[in-house]
Order: sequence, then structure tokens, then C-alpha cells
Amino acid sequence: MHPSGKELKRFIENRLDELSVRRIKEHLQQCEFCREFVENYRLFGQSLDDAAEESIPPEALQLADRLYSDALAGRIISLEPLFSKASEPKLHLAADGEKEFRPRVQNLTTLYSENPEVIMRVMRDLDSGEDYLQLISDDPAFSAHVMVQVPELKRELITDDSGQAMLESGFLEVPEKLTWQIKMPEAVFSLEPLVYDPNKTEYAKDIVLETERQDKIKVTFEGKTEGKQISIRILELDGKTDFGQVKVSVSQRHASAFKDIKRDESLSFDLVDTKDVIKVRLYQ
Amino acid sequence: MTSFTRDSYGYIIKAFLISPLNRKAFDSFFGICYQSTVGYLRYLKAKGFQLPHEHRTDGDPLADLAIDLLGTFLYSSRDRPFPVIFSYFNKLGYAQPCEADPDDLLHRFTVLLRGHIRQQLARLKVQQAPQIDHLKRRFKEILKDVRFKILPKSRGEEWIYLAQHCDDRRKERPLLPYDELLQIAEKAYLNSRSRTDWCLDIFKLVNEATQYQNLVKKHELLAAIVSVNSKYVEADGLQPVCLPTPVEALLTKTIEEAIVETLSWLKESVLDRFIHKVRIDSEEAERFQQAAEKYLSDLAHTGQTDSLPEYFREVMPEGKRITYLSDYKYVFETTINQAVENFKDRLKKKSTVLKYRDYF
Repeated sequence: MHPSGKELKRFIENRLDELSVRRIKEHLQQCEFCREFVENYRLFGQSLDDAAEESIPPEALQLADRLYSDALAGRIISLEPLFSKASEPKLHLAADGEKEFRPRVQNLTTLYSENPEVIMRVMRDLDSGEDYLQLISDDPAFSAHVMVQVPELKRELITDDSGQAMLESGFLEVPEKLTWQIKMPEAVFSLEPLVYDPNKTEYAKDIVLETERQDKIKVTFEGKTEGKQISIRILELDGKTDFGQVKVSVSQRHASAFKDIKRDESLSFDLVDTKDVIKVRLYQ
Repeated sequence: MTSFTRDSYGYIIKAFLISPLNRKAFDSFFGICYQSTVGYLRYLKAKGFQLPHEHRTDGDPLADLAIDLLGTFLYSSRDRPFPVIFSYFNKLGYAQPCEADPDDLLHRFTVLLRGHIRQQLARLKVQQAPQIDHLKRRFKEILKDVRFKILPKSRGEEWIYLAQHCDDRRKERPLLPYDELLQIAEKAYLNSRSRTDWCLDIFKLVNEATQYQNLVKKHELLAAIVSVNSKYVEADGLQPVCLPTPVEALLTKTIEEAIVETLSWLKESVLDRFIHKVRIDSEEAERFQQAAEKYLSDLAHTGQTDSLPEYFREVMPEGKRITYLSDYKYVFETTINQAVENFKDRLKKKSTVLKYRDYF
């Protein structure tokens, strides 16, 4: 009888007692099948060890980026209240001295998601009286230029590149009682500086961009007297031309534009910088 | 993204299963997927597989192939991120990865990834199993020895028998069926130490099966040898590319349903009967059911199983393992064999797996 595959593996990995090792060594001297198995397993282990020591090439890293973006596309990230009680100014006592600390912002509520890790704080600027939300995450993909939805109010907000979005006054009576969620874009297009050169755009020029999931947009660069501009039109979403209404966000540095558009409509955006990346995100 | 030591793989898989959308967890998981894929491709190449992209001189051909393979392994659908990974682990009962053992996760992941690679390579029409050709050549050489006789070809088939049985070929008896030959080939393998001995032992056992003629068809002999060799010598997912492993989501779901149904049938129709006959007690029956589940799962997801005593050892306490042959062998083997039969019958009836009939 031959030793089992598991026993032979333990033998190769030096995980057997002395007696078993001796028994298997004796067997291997006589048995060409088990010798072949051992050779196979050693070769296999060596191949894996060699591969584990190599660094990952740039092409594979690009694939990782794409696969990760695809995994995020269109996902809804629910946010749960972390604590509901709004922070209140402390009671000031005479013993505290004359200088009273007065915070410039008040935290109205904090929400979070565990997977992925995202914190959302609903804040009030006490100087201006404006309310805003702030998304915080290690990965900017979850905070910058994402859509925050409040389904009960049918409201949608897009954060800027710092993860902030302003809230209209009166929008938040009881923010902790609302349902807050982050909606990731269905598709993200990136226009790198090499792809376009607005300085040379003396006339309108079209570029069609397409994702592997058959989302297709047309970007038109226009040189106008008041500045450089792009306009975006959606051609297909998921390979379909009858996609109804789509929310489009365009951002470059701190500037962004957001609009609901249909098939024959377009969104215009004034370029801030001729050398910076433009991101176009589609939400459905 | 850096390289990872293999010791950490199980923990990385666990972190990814818990937080697949966490960028760090994903990057680490992608890293081990990449390294494992390149390692496996390197192994296949060393074994003589002619892999796609090998003719390319630009860049690293194995890296290019690994990138192609991982694109399908880690894709996301509109409805669900990484469905290949999560449907597989969910069906195996890892809905709560926090509680899973990292070594166990690594083993399952390895099975899944290698199955996927083999499946994709089969689709890319990679030359199938060069080691099979090598093995067949070795046996054809052995059969040229004077101890063997070959009957003249009849309708393209060659018949082989031992020269010493030249005058006693039991011509009036039926021919040995292939299933019997396969069992004989396995039995002979377990008792031999070289290919020549193996071949001779097969014919010795064929001769002992006196209800049949003592000769075999050459192509059936080679098929049986390849089958047994793949089962034992090419163990650990190193089985040559033959048929794709059915790990696609729908198929996996159907298979898991069939396993659950089989286990339920096994308890009622087989194990309870053994309990009634006082061959085993209810605790042992439960352990046998666990062993049957592991066996069916290995069979369904990898196409390979360990020897039956290995499964017995896995589920039974140490004290009972030494009395396997005397007290449990018959009941345990009957349990597993009946489970396999029932499982295969169920799968054959399910429309989802009809196109994979040959696999089963």
C-alpha cells in the first residue's frame, strides 16, 4: 500500500514524526509512483515559492485597479448612525475662566459603514449657519465625488474632492432619523492630459470613450472665447441606448458639475486646468 | 502592492472575504491570486504544457496569461462583486468568514483558483496533458516486452494478453468490462512499485477474474492506467486538463443542492439501517455523514478524492481509527459508495448539469 497523498505532503513539508519519515523514505526507494508524486509536489511548491518572491508587474496592477473599480460600480453603501445625540456646547462655569471655548462647527450626527470603512459626519458651521456633510475614508474612492442619497427625501448630493457636500438650510430637521447611503458610480471615465490638449482646441472635437461593460460616452472639446469647455453626452449604458435618465458628474480638481441627462441631452463643464485629469462619473 | 509570504495567504483570503470592498484587503488578495496563478502556470509549463502566449517575446508570457486568467476570476457583475469567489465560498458554508480557519480557507481558495485556471486553459485549447502522452508511451514500450502478446488488429482494436496464457485464453467467456478493468488497474497500482510491475499485476489480476476472458483491449488498458495515474500520482489539483471543473455559480448551486439531498437520503436509507442493525451507533452515523459530505464536496469541486480511509481518519476519534479494518471498513465503504452513486444519479437528473454528463 502506498502512503496517502496527505502523508507524502507532510513528509515533504517535514511535518511527520521520525518513524513515519523512515517508513516513507524506505517506501520511496522502492516506489517510482510515490517518487513521482513527491517530485511533482516539490516542483509545484518551488514554482509557488518562486512566484511569491516576485513583485507584481505594472500591467497586473492596472488590472487590479480596473477589477476594483468594477467591483465598486453602482454599489450602495448603507450608513448606520454611530451615535445619535448631537454634540452640545459644554456648560460654562465661572471656574473655567473668562475665555470661553466656542467651537466653529457642531457635529449634528455621525454615521458609518463597516465594510467598506467610511464615516459620514453631518456638520453645522456655527459662523455661517450652513450645514454640510463630510465623508471620511482611507480610500478617496469612497469619499470624493461620490453620491450621497437620502431616499426618504428623494435627495441626492455629490461630494467634492475633499468629501464635502453642502446641505440646503432646513434640510436637516432630524438627520439621525433619515436613511443615508452612498451610491458609487456605475461607470467612471478618466480623461488624462495626454488624451486631450484644450490649448490646441480651436474647434469642436469629439472623443468617444467606452468601458469594458459597454458604457459609452461622447466628450466634445470646445474652444470658446470665454474659455475651454467640454460637453458630455451618453451614448450607451450597459450596451443599451434606451437607458432613461442618468445622473452625470464631471470633476476636475475642486470644480465639479452634476446633472440629470437623457439620451439626447448633454452636460457642459468649464475646464479649470488644461493639464489635470477630468473624471466623468455616471449614476443610474 | 508587495509580494506576500505563503504563510500569510490564509489570513489575506479571510480579510478579503470579510471586507471585499476594502482597497487594502482587495490589493492583498489580488496579489496572492496573481502569485498563485503565475506559480501554477510555471508548474504546468515545467510539466510540459504548451501554454498560450508562449511564442510572445514581448514581456513575460506567463504574466500576460495570468492577467487574462484573473480578469475572469475576479470580475464583478452589475449585481454582485466577485461572484466567482463569493458564490463558491457561500455554497461551501463560509457565509461568516470571521469564524473560518485561515488554513481551511486557503485550501478551498487553492482548489477554486486551480479549477478556474484549468477550466480557462481548456477553453483556450491548451494542449491537453503532455504527461498523459508520456505515460502512454511508457506503457506501449512495456507492452513490447516478450512477456506480452498482441492479437492481430481487429476493426482497429488491439488485444493484449500475457504470453504465458497463450494456450488458455478462455475464449468462450465474455470480455472483461471496462469498469472491472478500471478496478483491477487501481488494485494493481496499490500493490506495485513500478510501471512494469503494475502492468504485469494488471494482467495477473485479469487472469484471476476467471468469469471473463484474460485479455484486454489496448486502448481500454491505456485509458484505465491514465485514469488511475491521474488519481494518485497527479494528486493535489495537479490533474491534467481534461474536463473543466464545474465551479460556475449555477452549477455549484445545483451540486450543493444534490449533496444536501444525498446526505438526507443517506441518513434515512443507509445510516439508520446500520444503526438499526447495531453496526454503528448514532454518533458514528453522524460522523460518517460528515465524511460523506467531505467526500462528495471534494469529488464535485475538484474531481479528486483521497483514499476512503483518509476520510475515516478525518472524522473519527483517534481510538477508533486503529480498528477501521476490523470494525468499520465495510460499513464506511458502503456508506460512501452508496452516497456517491446516489449523488451521481441525482446530478444526472438535474437539467443544469446535463451538459456535464461526461464529467460525472
